[in-house]
Amino acid sequence: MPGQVGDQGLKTLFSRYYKDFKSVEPDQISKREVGYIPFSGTMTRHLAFKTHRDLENFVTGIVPRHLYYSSTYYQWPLEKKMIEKGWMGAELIFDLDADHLKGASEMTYEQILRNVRDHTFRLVDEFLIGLAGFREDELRIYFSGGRGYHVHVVSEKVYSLNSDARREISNMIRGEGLNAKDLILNINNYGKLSGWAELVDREVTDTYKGIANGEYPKFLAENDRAAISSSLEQAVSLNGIVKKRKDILAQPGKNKYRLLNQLDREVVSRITDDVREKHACEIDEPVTTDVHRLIRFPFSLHGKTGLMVKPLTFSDLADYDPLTEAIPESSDVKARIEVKRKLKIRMRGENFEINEGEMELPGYVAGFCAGMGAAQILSIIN
Amino acid sequence: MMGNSSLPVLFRETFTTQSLENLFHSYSQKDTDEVISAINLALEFIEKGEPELLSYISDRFLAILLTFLRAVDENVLTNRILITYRKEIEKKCRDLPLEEIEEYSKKLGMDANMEFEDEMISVSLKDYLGIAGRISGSTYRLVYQDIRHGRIFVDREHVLKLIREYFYSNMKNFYDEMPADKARDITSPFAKATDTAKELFKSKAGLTSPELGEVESTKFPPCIKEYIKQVSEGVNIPHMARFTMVSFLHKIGLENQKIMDIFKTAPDFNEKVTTYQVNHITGETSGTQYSPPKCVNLQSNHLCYKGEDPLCNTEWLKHPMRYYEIKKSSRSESKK
Ligand code: SF4
Repeated sequence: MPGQVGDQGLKTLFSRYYKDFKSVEPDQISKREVGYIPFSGTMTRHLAFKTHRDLENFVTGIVPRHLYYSSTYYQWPLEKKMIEKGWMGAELIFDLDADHLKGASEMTYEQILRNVRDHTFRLVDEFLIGLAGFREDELRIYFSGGRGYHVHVVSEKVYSLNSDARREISNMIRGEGLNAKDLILNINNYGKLSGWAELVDREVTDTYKGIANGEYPKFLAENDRAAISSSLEQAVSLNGIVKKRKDILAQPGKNKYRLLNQLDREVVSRITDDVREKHACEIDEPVTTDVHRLIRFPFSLHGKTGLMVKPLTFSDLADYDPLTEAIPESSDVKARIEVKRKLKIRMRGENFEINEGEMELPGYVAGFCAGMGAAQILSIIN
Repeated sequence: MMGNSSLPVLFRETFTTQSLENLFHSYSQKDTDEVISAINLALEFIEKGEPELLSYISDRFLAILLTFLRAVDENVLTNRILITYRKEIEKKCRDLPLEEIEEYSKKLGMDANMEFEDEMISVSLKDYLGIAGRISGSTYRLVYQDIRHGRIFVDREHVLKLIREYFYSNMKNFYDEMPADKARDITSPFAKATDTAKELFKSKAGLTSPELGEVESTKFPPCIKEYIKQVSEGVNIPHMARFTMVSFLHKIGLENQKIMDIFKTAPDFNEKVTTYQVNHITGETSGTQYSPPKCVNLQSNHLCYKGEDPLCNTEWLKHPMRYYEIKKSSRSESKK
C-alpha cells in the first residue's frame, strides 16, 4: 500500500511525541477503559492501566494513531462485555464538531474551528454554567485535535445520570422539542421565566413593542399588520384589571400567553423557531447520551492532524487558536514531504500554500498534511 | 390534618431480613394484627380491587405487605397495588402545606428546597432528571422547565408527581431486591395465606397473557412488545405508548375487541373509556386511522426500548411498522 510509507513517516513524528508522553488526566485512570487505533490495523479496546505511568509506557511503545479512554468509570474495565464491566458512573460529555454545523462544507478549516468554538462558548456559558449551574471547576474543555471541541462535566452531579436523563440535557441544549404550542401550554408553570422561555419571551416582547410603534417584523404579511395593530388596542381584563392588550403583550412576563389570538400564536410560533435556531448549540447527541462512550485521550495526538487534544480554560476559549496552541513541541523540526494534493493552512500565524511535489516544511505542517492524507513524510530532519 | 411525620419513606435499608422475620414470627399481638391486616388488604384487593385499609400507610405496614406480596410472587398483582399506593401518597400530600411537602421530599431523599419568594420548590437537576425521565408529556421535559443555576423550580402539582414517582421506586426497590424464596421463608407462618392469595388471584382474573391470534407477536418491535407486557402486568403506560400500541395493532390487522382485551388487566381499566379510545385511534369513530409515531418521536419521549436489538440499531430503521414488515417478509422468504 502506498499510504504505508507516508504513514510510517507520520508514525515517526508521533513517536517523537509519545517518547516523553506525560499523562495526568483523566482522573481514576484505573477505572477507565482505554482503546487505540494503531498506524496499521484496527481498533483495539478493553485495555486498562493501573497508573498513568503504566499507560505512558504502553503508549511510548505502541505509538497510537488515535488514543481514547472511556468517559465511564468501570469496576472491571478489562472485561470485554459491557454488562460485565461493572458500570459505576460516567462523565457527561459534549462533542462539538463541524459535522453538525450548517454550511461547513463551504468553510475553510480555520473558519470551521472558529465557528465550532463559538458554539462551544455558548454551550459552556449559557447552558452548562448559566442554566445547569455547573461550576467552572467541574468542567473540562478540550480542543479535540480535529475539527472541534469536547466538553466534559466531571462531577458527582452527573455520574449517575442514565441515558434518558442525558438526553433531556442534550435536548435542552439543542432546543429539541421546543415549539410554541407546548411552550404556551407550559409557560404558566414557571415562577420566573428562565431558560428557553425567557429567551423566547424577550423576543416576543420586543416584537410587540415594535408592532405597537408601527415596526413590523418582516415575516408578518401586509394584511396581518393592520389586524395585529388594531388587536393591540383592544381592552382586556386580566386578573380583574382592565388594560389594553398592547400593555400586556409588549411587557415581559408570562401573562401575555393567556391572551393570544390565532395571529399572535403564529407570531409566537415564528419567533420560537427563530430563537431556537439562534441559540441552540449543535452538539452530537449520541455522544452525550451514550453512557459507555470512548473519547479522545487528553494530550494525545489526533491522527488526522497531528495536533494535541489539549485542555483549555473557559477564559481561554473566547479567542483560542488551536492552530497555534495545540501544536506539539516535538513537531518543531523540519520534515521533507511529498505532497499529493494541494492544501492551504494557517498554523502558528503563518500561511502555508502547499502545492504538489517534494518540499521541506515545519514538522507540524508536514504532520497535518500527512494526517489529512494529502502528503507523505519522507524524512524528518532534526 | 395529618403531619407528614406519618408519611412513609420505605427505604430498603431500614428493614433487615431479620427484622422482617421477627415481625412475621412475632408472639406480640400487635405485630400479628399488623401482619394479618396487611394480608387482608392483599386479599381484599384481589377480591374487590379497592381495599379500605389503604388509608393506613406506615413504613412497617408497607414492608409487611410487600414482603407478603413478594412471597405470593404475582407481578401483576404487586404492580397494581404499588400503583394504588402511589396514587394514595399523592392524595395524602395534596392536603399538605408546601413546607411540609418540602420536608417530605427531603425525607424521601430528594434534594428539594422551599423557595419562599416564588412559592415553589426547587429540585436539583440531578434528582429532577432521575425521576422526570420516567414521566411522559411536555410538561416534564427539561426544555420547558424553570431552570435557574442547576435547580428546577416546580409548583405544587409538579412536585407531587415527583414525590409519587420517588415513592413508587422505593416500593419497587424494596420488592425487587428481595428474592421470592427468601420472602417465602420470612413469611412461612402464613404460608397458607400466601397460597390462598395466589390461587384467588389466578382464578379471579383469567390472567393468561392476552390472546393475539393471527398476528405474529414475535415479530413485533421491542417497543410494542414492552407496552403489551407492561399493560398486561397492570402498569399504567403513558398516553403516547397506548396510542402507539393501539395504532400499531390496528394497522397489522388485529380486531378492536382483541386490542381491548389487552387492556382488561390494566389497573384503571375502564371499559367505556378504553372502548372510546380504541375506536377513536383505529378510526371507527373518528374517521381518521391514526398511524404509530416514528422511532425518533418515541425515542425523544423515552418510549423506545430497542436495547441491543440488531434491527432497531440499524441506521435506516425509522418506524416500528417497518420493523414488523421486515421481520414478516424475511420469514416468508426463508420459507420459500
Ligand atoms: S427503534 Fe423504533 S421500533 Fe425499535 S424499539 Fe425503538 S421505537 Fe421501537
